Amino acid sequence: MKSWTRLAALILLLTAGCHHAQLPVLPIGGDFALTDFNNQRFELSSLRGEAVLIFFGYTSCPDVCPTTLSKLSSVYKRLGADSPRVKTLYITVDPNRDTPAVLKEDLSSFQVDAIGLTGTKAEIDKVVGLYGASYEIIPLPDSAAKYSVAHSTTLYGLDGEGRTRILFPYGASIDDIVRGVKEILAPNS
Amino acid sequence: MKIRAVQLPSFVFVVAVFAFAGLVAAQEPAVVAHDAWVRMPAPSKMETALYLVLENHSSQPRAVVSASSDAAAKLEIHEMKTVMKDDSMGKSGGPMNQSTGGSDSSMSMDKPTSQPMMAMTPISKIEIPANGKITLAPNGLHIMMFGLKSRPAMGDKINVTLKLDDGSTVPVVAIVK
Repeated sequence: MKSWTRLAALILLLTAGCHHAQLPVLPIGGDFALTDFNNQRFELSSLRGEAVLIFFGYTSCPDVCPTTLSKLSSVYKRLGADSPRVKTLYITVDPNRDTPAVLKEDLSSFQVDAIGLTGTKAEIDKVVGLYGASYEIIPLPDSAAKYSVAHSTTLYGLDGEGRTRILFPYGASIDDIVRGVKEILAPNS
Repeated sequence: MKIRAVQLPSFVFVVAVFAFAGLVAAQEPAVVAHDAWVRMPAPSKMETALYLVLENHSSQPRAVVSASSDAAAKLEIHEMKTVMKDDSMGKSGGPMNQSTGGSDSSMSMDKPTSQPMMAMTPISKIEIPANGKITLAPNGLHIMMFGLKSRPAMGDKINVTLKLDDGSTVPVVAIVK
C-alpha cells in the first residue's frame, strides 16, 4: 500500500469523527528557510505556537491555486476567534515569475492570513522534497502561457511545534479543513 | 389545369407558411452557450479563465476549435489534467526529514513516492456531443484569455466568440466573478 494511501487513510480517520484520538505526527516536513513576500528571510521556526497550513502553487495557476485560496478564505472566516492562531504559507514553485512583489500583490486579493514564499530553485526544491511534494515545468512554446507548472495539490497542516499532523487532499471541504485545524489547535493534540 | 382565382391566395399562403418555418429553423442556432463567467484576474495578471456551458441542439456532434474576444489578445482552449512525475524525490526535492519527534513515532511510513500533480494543458478542441452538452468548469476544461486589454471589474460583461468546426460561431456573454 503506497505511503500516500496510508496518509489519506489518516485523513479519513479524522473525518470519521475520531475527535479524541491524538493526531499522529507524520514523518514528512521539517524546518526550512525561504524568502518572504517582503523580500525578508523567513524561517518556519518563527511560527512556533501557531498552526501552519502549507501549500505549493504559483500565481499564474488558473484553477487549483485560486480555488484553494478561496477555500482557505472561507476556512479563516469559519475559524473566527481561532483564525489569528493559524498562518498559511504559500510556497511558489515558479520562482522565475513569482517575485516577492508578485506574491504579495496576488495574495492580497484573498482573505487569508498568508505569507508568500519564494527562493532559489535549490531552496524551493529542498522544501518540496522535505514535504514530499512534486512539481514540474512544462514548456508550452506555442501558448501565450510560455510554460505551465504541474504541481501537487496537498495542503499540509502543521502544529505549533512545526510538526506535520494532517494532509488535506485537494478535494477536502471547508468543513474538513476547519475540523482538522481545530484538531491541531486543541490543547491535547 | 387552371387555378381558380379564389384558390390562389390560399396556395400562396400555405407556401409562405412553410417558407417562414424553414427560415426560422435555419436561423435557430445548433449550439448555444449559457452560464458563462470569467474569473477575476489576479491583481498582477492580465489573464484569466472563462467557463461556460455549451449545448448542442443538433443531431451532429460539434466541436469548439477556437475562440476570440475584443477584450483579450489571445484565447486558447485548455484543460486541467492529473499527471504523475516519474521520480519527484529524485528530481525535485532534497533529503527527507525522517524525524517525527512525536508520541506516535511507532507509526512507520514508507518514504512517500511522487504525488499526482495537476497541470494546465492546451488542447485543440472541445467536443460537444450531438443533442448533448459540455460544461467548462474549474479543475477541468476552460478557455484561457491572455493579454486582457483592460482590467475588468466584478460584474462586468465580456463578449467572446467561439468558432465551431463547421465554421459557425457561438456568441458568449460572460460575467466577471
